[in-house]
Amino acid sequence: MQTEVARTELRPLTSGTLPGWFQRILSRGAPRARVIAPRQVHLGGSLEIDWWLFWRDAPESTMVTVTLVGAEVAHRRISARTGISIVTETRPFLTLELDRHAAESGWPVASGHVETRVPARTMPSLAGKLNEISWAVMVDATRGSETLVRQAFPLTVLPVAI
Amino acid sequence: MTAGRTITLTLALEQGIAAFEPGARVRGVASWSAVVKPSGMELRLVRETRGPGGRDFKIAETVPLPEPLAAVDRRPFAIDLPNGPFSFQGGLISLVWTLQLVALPGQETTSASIVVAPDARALELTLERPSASAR
Repeated sequence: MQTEVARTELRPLTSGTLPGWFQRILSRGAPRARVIAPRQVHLGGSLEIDWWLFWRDAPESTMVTVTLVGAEVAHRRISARTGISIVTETRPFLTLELDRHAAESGWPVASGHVETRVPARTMPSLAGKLNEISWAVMVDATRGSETLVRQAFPLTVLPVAI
Repeated sequence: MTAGRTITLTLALEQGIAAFEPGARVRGVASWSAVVKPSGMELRLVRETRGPGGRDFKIAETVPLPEPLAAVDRRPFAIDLPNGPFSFQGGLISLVWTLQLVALPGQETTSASIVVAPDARALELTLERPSASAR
């Protein structure tokens, strides 16, 4: 049985670095995406998303794309004389384009509502210390081949509902 | 195997089938031959994710084989598989299920890799770009 999960505003993935946090707070014109979606969705289940991109000084000819991305994530500890660092590798295995709009003047510069179905025969989210499967709604602003903005909004994809 | 306590462990799956649907029942025979009888014998269902930085390891289920155990013995078994997560092979990481036969107290082990996935086929995580089914 498929259970409906309430939609809510998803939190963007942050780098966690203090300078990055300060930068976002202090730069008023910085682009900011909002995504409202369920925090959890089943493989094969329906997914309804509302999204916005706010950007005071968005360049002309900016294209905004919203995608659902499933990715393999591997963490590796690297020891050096200076200490131990964690290197994270990510490899997407599913990229489902949900929406695409040209940015316009206004506030927000782009927005949309999309309903789709998550593919059924693929991997749900999987947590682990070193190896993970993660899912996110991505909001990308591009101009030509250049990525200007990329914000990730993680969500949990559960196995197919029985 | 340990010095002075040699034990030979064998794990045979029914009809040699090693790929299953989620939730299926796996049947087989566990057998061993030792000089001294083991103090215990367990079947373990283990899930591993393997990646470039190492592996995450989880024992999903442990089934002790009923006593009394003999030094040379043979036990049919049946164990129910979980509904997930599915076995998969990605470009970066993979998930592998293993059925282990473990002799106690020395933890000598033999194992059989099994696939747990729909259609009894491990998922291949190649990059897909399907188009959205509805907007």
